[in-house]
Amino acid sequence: MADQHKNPEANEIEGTADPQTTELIAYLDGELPEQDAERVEQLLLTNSLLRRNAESFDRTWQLLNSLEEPRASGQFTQKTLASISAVAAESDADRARDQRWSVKRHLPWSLIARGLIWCLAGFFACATGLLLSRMARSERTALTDAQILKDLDLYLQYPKLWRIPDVEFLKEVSDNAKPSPVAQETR
Amino acid sequence: MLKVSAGDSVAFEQLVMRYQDRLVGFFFHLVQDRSACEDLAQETFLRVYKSRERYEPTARFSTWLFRIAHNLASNQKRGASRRREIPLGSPAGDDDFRPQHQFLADKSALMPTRQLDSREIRDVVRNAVEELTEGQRTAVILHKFEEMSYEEIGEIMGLGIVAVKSLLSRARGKLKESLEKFL
Repeated sequence: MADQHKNPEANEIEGTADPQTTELIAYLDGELPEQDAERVEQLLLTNSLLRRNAESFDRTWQLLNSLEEPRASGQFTQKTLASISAVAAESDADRARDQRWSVKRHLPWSLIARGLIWCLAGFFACATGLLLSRMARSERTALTDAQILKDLDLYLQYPKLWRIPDVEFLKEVSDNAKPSPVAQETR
Repeated sequence: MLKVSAGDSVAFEQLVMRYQDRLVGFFFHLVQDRSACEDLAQETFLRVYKSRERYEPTARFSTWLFRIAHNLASNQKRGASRRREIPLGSPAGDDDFRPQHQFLADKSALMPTRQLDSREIRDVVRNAVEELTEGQRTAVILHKFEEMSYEEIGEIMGLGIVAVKSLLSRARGKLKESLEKFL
């Protein structure tokens, strides 16, 4: 499990120790598997040099007990908790300030976004109105043109027709079945 | 720690009280400075507090705590060595400078029957520990004083078990070499 996060010096460390000493130390530390431990025990029984070596390792290890083991001072707990409270209060204040900044930062953007939406809505409304009015006008224009084309003959004859005094006159002309000179010309 | 993660300040106080001596001791063996070791222990608790919400109980709490402490000590050591302008160690031309354990060894050799008193032994042992590399020293402290297994030491230091074995073997070899003459 620990091999997963080895540091870069690991290979250098691994490659340099004497394997027999490493095994002896691991035995003294109770870190050898049972089978290996039994093998080392057998060796220790038969090899006096190894036994002396093991005793020497053990005695130097015991010498470390002479080192002082200081305890934390009486004020340590209170000082530590006070400094942590201060940091906690500071981080709370930072968080609150960040939130305020975040609101300030986001406020103009929300306003801009809202304004943009209203502008777009206005633009589409104007464009739609313009389009509808154009369509209506073109329909009207189309009707007028058709009417003009339909009555084109009449308009062309208008300078002559305006002299006709009234409809009665036209009826009279029609009843006589004799085309008037004006009617002949019109045809 | 799970209570601390949930924001229980009383639980955090208990946690500080339970581990403060162990952390102060760990840093003291590393830096040999009473004031600095308390500052580092305090900083470790601060980091624990800051990352309390990210804590996942996948390993023992003490392993997680000492991993933070180890990283902090390594960073501090790196920072200190970058800031250092005058190299530590024997000053050039200073013939009087000798490591204390060497001085004591010489003194003992002059008086073979003389027994070192406990204070002298402590100084000799401390100097022998100081001569270890940073990694060796950390592994020795974790194993000797925190009674951690090779696997736990590996997790804390980011090493495999084989590397920890090798590290401790070399460290104990060096200690034996330095201290054998005082046995």
